[in-house]
Amino acid sequence: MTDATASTAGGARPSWDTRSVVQIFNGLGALTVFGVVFGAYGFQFILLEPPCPLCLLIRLGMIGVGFGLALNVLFGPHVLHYGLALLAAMFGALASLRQVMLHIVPGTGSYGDPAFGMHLYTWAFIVFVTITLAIAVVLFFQDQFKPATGPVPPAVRWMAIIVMAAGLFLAGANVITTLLECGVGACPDDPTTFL
Amino acid sequence: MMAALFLAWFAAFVLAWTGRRVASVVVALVSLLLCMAMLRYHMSDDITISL
Repeated sequence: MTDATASTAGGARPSWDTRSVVQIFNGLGALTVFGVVFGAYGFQFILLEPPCPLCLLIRLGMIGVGFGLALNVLFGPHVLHYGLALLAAMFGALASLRQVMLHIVPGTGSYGDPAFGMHLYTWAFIVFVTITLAIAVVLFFQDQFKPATGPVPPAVRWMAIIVMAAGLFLAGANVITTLLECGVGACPDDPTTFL
Repeated sequence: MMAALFLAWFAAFVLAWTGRRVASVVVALVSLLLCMAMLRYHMSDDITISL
């Protein structure tokens, strides 16, 4: 049984402390990056834009960041979880920056349609940098690493369930759609069809 | 190959939700390393495979 899914023991009232607030904050961060991947799915199925190899790597980075933050919600804040999220954010920033650089020279074109004035890979780079900054700020609150003093508030438990379900769904759905697009080999350079 | 990377993250989520924190972190780190290898492949001098 995990920290956040443990039932209330001994009838003690759940209390809000720095740890619980940071767990909710981590959950919101995870839902944000998962929301970006859901948005990418919108582009894939509504605008019929199959994801390129770098786009899929950026999705993997987003899921990795979300996983690190989800662990904080599920088990409580831990430096190991933050480290994992930061590594995934670094990886995602590298992948998205690579794609920005491929198209940065005027006349070299772009991949896909822009959203709110910028392409998805540019937005992804901004998201990864913002997540890195947000984690740096959250790490200032050292009380979050103290052991829980009472039962976990129900909101944290629900946040853990929602975040884990969203992450599981996204990772599982991407296994299927990526397998259908790329098969078991390398993904096509410039995909035109999927499913 | 790319689908296998998503599968690795899926496995990490399953392990975490079933309470195996350390195992899930190990799987996630291995998955991240494989992601780096895949990124390296797509950062070849032949930029057409990155598009």
